[in-house]
Amino acid sequence: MFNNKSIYIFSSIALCLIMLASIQWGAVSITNIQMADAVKHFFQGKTPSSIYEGVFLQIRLPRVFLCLISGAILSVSGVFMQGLFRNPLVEPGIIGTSAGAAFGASIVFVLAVYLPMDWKALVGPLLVPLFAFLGATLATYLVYMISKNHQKTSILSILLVGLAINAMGLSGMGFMTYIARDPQARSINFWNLGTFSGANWQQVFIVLALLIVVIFSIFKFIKPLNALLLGEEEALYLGVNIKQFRRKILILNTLMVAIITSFVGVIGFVGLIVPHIVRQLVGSDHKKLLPMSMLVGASVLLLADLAARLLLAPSEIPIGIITSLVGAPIFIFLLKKKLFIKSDA
Amino acid sequence: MLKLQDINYTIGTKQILSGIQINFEPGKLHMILGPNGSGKTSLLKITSGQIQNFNGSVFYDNHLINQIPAATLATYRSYLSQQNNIPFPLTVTELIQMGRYPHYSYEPTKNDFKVINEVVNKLEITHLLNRDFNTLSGGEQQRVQFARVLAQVWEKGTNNSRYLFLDEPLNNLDIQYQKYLLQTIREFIKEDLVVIMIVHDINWALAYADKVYFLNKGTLVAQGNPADIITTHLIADVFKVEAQLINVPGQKHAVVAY
Repeated sequence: MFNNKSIYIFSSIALCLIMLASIQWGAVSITNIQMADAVKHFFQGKTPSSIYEGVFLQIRLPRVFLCLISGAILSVSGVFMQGLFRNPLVEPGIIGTSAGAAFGASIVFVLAVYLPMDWKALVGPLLVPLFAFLGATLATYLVYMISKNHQKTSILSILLVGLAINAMGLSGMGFMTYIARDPQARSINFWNLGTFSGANWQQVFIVLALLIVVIFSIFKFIKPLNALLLGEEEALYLGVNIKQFRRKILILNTLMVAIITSFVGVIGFVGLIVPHIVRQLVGSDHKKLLPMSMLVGASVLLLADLAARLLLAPSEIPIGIITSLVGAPIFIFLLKKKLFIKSDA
Repeated sequence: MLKLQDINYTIGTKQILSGIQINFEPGKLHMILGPNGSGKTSLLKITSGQIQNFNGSVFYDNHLINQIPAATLATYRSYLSQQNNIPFPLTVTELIQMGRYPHYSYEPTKNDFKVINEVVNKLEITHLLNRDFNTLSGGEQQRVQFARVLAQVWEKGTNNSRYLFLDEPLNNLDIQYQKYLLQTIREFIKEDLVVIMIVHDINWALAYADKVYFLNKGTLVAQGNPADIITTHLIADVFKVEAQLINVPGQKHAVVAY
């Protein structure tokens, strides 16, 4: 096989090329010269001289950065959760986080019409992210508190309670969709499939700050996550303070999923599948798995977003449709390959 | 020195262990025996710091175990369990390296690599290093895990003593490897090392143990030198089996025949 260094270099180059393509291609194409002009004018403090420069600076760039960082964070989150639960089938939002966010957002879509007009103008665009974030964190907190046991909190009970709360969140959202009027129900639906079309620079800065926190945390999580591969008891014998570690990683993961989901909606499959792809490339050592998942996750989500923009241009397909449509077959392929190897041995 | 004082342990209403008092002396190989469900693994998990909600005290060199931080204890205590299920692909090298985790912060030092090398050579598993752990046979997995826990306490640390716990380490092994592992442990034992293991075969206890401990229904029914305390009477009492102790010419210890 390839060695690790060449995989890193290849993935980094691929990511750069995909980024460039994502910036240039779309409903409006942007050339290299227009990009250069836009950057030049920006630093000279001039207003953009053409519509292309405006699209580049205010629409394309934030979108690409938001998408890239979201892909990286969702993939890392998948690695975190699969490692924590020692289960390859776990998704980032599995313990109520995604469903909580979806429920929170659906409340806003349905009830925001009853807000006074001047209120709506003031806080309107912030309401969906805010409620999604609250729903996500509350649901996960609920899961953690319910599964907490004074003697020993089993990781399995967190997972099972998580599944239950997830179901409750989805049914809550289902109810909101049911009582919603048609356009509102459509909004809920779209939000649940995710989109990067509303990206702006504020969001980029927030997720960038989050990314920096995540990168610093990764260094501390590598050894505990590796040790957990052996089992929870084994990790304790290797000096991991399991209780503390579990709390830290669950809090960080909730923040990661809640923030991303509140900005771009629920994007399925990326956090599940990217860790699997990367394990095939570099193995399960989190020292390689985590940074590589960031690279691959960013590329994969950028590609998905590109497809979402180009396939039915000038209109857009929700990105969740693309990620699930392409992700599911890849997942089955990887699974079959693995089962095949297992039965071979 | 590892000291257990008046250990009582219950799960729900079921009494698992009662009134256990043991002094595990360093430089000796200690073996725990007893029928299934007699509390052997619970005793090992309490002594090693895994189970914390028991009554009584465990002392490591006069320090109460619950006052030693997990990360510190891990630099001089390792434990081989019976669980070998790893849900993801992992190479043998990566797995053995984990045994050195308590000793380095981010990158393994030269010394860590030296230790790993020595352990791998000692256990003759060099040919397995690049294999995926999950493709190994049960016996190979057991030897690789043994290498990991050995690497963890391979060197004399800053602490006075080192502690190695082995829960049925001979499982899945052919007799040649059972013997090899026991001999490796015997050679490895130094004056600062406490080795406590659970075994099933009384013959291995007679041949290799310095001290044996017989558990039955959660109580310690006998402890001492194997030659002194292993009798047909004790075996009948603990295991409900009629056995014979036979002296073999040319062997220092007796053998048990069931």
